[in-house]
Amino acid sequence: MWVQLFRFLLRRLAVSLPLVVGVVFVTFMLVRIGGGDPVALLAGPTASAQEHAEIRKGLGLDQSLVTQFGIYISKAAQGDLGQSWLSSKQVSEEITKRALVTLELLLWGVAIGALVGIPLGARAAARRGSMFDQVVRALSLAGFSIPTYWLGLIAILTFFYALGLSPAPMGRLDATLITPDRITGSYFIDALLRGQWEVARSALSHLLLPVMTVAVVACAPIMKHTRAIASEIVDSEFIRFARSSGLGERRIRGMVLRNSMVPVLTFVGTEIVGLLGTSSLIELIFSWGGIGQWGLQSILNGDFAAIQGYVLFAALLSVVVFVVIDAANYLLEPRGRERM
Amino acid sequence: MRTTLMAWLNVFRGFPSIAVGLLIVGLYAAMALLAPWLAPMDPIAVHADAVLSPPSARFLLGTDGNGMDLFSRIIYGARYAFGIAVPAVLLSILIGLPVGLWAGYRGGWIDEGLLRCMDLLRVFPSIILALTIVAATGQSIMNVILVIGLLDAPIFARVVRAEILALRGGLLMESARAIGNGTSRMLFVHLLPNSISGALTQISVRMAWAIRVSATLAFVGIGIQQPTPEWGAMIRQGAEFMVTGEWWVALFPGMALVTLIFGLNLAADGIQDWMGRRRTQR
Amino acid sequence: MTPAATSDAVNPVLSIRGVHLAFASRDALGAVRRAHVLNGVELEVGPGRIVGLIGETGAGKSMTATATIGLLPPSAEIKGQIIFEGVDLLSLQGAALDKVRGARIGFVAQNPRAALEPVTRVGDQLVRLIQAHSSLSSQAARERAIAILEAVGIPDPQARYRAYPHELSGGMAQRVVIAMALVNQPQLVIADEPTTGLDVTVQAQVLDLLQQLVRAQGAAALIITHDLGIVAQYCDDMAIMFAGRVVERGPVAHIFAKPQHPYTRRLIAASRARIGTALTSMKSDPPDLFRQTTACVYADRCELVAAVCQSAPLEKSCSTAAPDHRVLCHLAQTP
Repeated sequence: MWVQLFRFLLRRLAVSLPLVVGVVFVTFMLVRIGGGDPVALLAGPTASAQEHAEIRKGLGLDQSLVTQFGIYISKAAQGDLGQSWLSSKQVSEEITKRALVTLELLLWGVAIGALVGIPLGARAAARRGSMFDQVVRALSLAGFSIPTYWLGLIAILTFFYALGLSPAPMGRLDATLITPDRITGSYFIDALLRGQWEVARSALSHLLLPVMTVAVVACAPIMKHTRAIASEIVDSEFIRFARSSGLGERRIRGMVLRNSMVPVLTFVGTEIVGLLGTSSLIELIFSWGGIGQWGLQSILNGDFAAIQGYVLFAALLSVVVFVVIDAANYLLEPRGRERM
Repeated sequence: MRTTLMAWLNVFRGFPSIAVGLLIVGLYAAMALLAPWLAPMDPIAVHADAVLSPPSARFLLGTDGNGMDLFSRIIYGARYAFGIAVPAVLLSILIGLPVGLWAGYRGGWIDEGLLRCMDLLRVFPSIILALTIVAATGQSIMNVILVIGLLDAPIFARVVRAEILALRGGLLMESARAIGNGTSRMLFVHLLPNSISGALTQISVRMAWAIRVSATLAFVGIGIQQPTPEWGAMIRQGAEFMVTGEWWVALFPGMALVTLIFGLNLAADGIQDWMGRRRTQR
Repeated sequence: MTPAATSDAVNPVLSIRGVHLAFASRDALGAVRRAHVLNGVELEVGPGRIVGLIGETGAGKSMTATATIGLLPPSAEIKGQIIFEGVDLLSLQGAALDKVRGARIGFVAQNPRAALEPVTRVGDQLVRLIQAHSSLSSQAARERAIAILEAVGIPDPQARYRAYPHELSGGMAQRVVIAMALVNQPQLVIADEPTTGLDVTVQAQVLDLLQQLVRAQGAAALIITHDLGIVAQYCDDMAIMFAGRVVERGPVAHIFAKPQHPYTRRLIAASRARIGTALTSMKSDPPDLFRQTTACVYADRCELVAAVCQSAPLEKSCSTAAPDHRVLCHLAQTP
């Protein structure tokens, strides 16, 4: 089975990579066709036409778009994603520096959102039509309707300004503290691992608001979807038959859980992908210093290579998540195996 | 006529969410249409003496960092919300419906292309895509409408395609064919009306999405900017002042956004329930 | 081997008395409509007897089974009694009901593949069912499961034990469902259209199996079907339902020889005609369950209809030639 799984995953990756390339291609073209002229930015106001031409050549902008793309892809495959015009650093460096920061926010947020949303959705499915169910539906609808960044701002207003419970939304740690030595890249975990309680506490308090904001936004669709999936299963023929065999409510609940796990987890995976965009906004508001904030700023500044790096990162992350989901599906869902 | 009215009232009674949702949307639409008469002041008039003043009798919801009246700006903001969402959704229907019809009916490369498109969009968080494209192609309202419309079109196409695929094997097709309908007649007279129901829910959902995305774009700083009274742009400015305690600048535009989007989603939810109920009773 | 007893008056296994069932719903325009699905059902299953419950679609056969097994939705409005082993099943709920079903009453579902849980192996599902109703160890339960799989004629039961439901054919799946219904040695087996969706040859195999196992255990059975042929071949007694009422019931041989109710006569004639040449026409409009009446529901379609049929209430059936052959008809006379 494991060999088959491996082959299956390989096939999925092979299918997905052209999609990634496609996305990057579209971005590449759009950014270059429509965007501003970086040469002028780099050259400065006093540069001559000659210097302009030289810079243009140096950046490879004198060649055809398709050639430029080809060069980009071949370099990217080797890990060279170009240079950010703003910071003059390698894009790949910028990304790796920030990747874990974003992932920390994203994963904590989705995890909490799922831990809250899944049981609530399941319970609502079991008690459809009840007051509990109505409340759950209303809440998830409301969660769908709140723009994330606004929620973040309200959170800041309430917990920082009004209640003084949270630290200022500037980054991940109090400015006066020294960041812990890097083990995982997460200030919180690293500080805990090294026993630096003060630092850990500060990191945690900085984590709280942004993570809770992501969690709330993640919770709504997860709750709604879990309810839908669990409802379908509760209504299904085999649950009916199980009831007619007197299996008892406890066992039936176990069956419902077991049968909804895979579709629900699949959905949580797609939520992670969807939340990439949302978490970028949160990073912006809280000055989190992750890829999202960096990417958004690059877009605003027209930093070609950086934008492409951001898009590439997002696309690759999506692919990884989907492949993981597919693997989980393959392992846990006996029905699908023949199709795969 | 009267029985139609009675029928509608009964629908609302059975599905209050549709009623409430449409009511909210209707109120906002009225706000957008009647803005010049409803707003007490000119939305871009600067009151230099009252910059960042909290809600008061004079300025019902306070003023922002430029000294402009928030209340009037929010009312006018409805115009931008609908002004972007309605054309965008219309565009996506205009593109998506025919593509979906064709893909479902004929299959072939259009169908393949559509599926590839959907895959591409799935691999990628749409907000980032929208941001990048609008930033790259110039920051005008037109572009925002175009981008949102284009990004949503595949969703409509897919919904219609799914309905058509479901109908394809069925009796409706066979009997219509047997009577001798040509292709275009098949499509427009027979298939289209029966596949609309799925698209209807999507209209509301997509409008909510369009409003949300356009506000997000403005918030990030792409697309519409100050002094245009667009809710997202207003929140953007308000963000700066949240930390210093001038909470009204970002709160009220946000509340307007949330309520309208909530109304749209509520209506969509209700429509979906109603459609589902109708289907099981046929 | 048919049991000698012809009278089910002595302590029937299952006794359905005066059951009325209605569902209230709102249509798309919001008005309340009440469907009267069962209208005073009277039915008995004698010990060791196989009873066939027959009727057209919508007559209420499946609903009767659903009510017996306790699977009605909370919105169901039900009156009457369903007595099994001295207890009114309609008064049972929760754990008390769960003790009965799956152990004392076995249920064979209509769509076998859909009835089995997709993500659990078939053998494990059997074991779960065994352990829910007994205190057997997993080893003992496993042995019992394999034994019953063999008894229902599944080849290589040890291997099939580990199969998932989607890997089984329709006939195989139905055998598994039968195994699940019988594994805890119930007193009564209810089979709801057990041959739907199966090939004709497989149908015969499944029914043979069911009959054989039920007799071997000395249990009683209620087979719900729309196929008179099945009733003729496999059942000891039969009950004919129309519009939520049992219009005639009694031993199969009796009824086939001397059907008393006009509807029964039509049914038998129609199925005989399928082989013969003469076609009997039947008015095809199904009865309107939203209209409730205490008079005879068959009056609109009956060729013998008299004035009394549409006015006088008709709730209690009367006997005809034999005490266990009962018919719900004003015009049936006791000779």
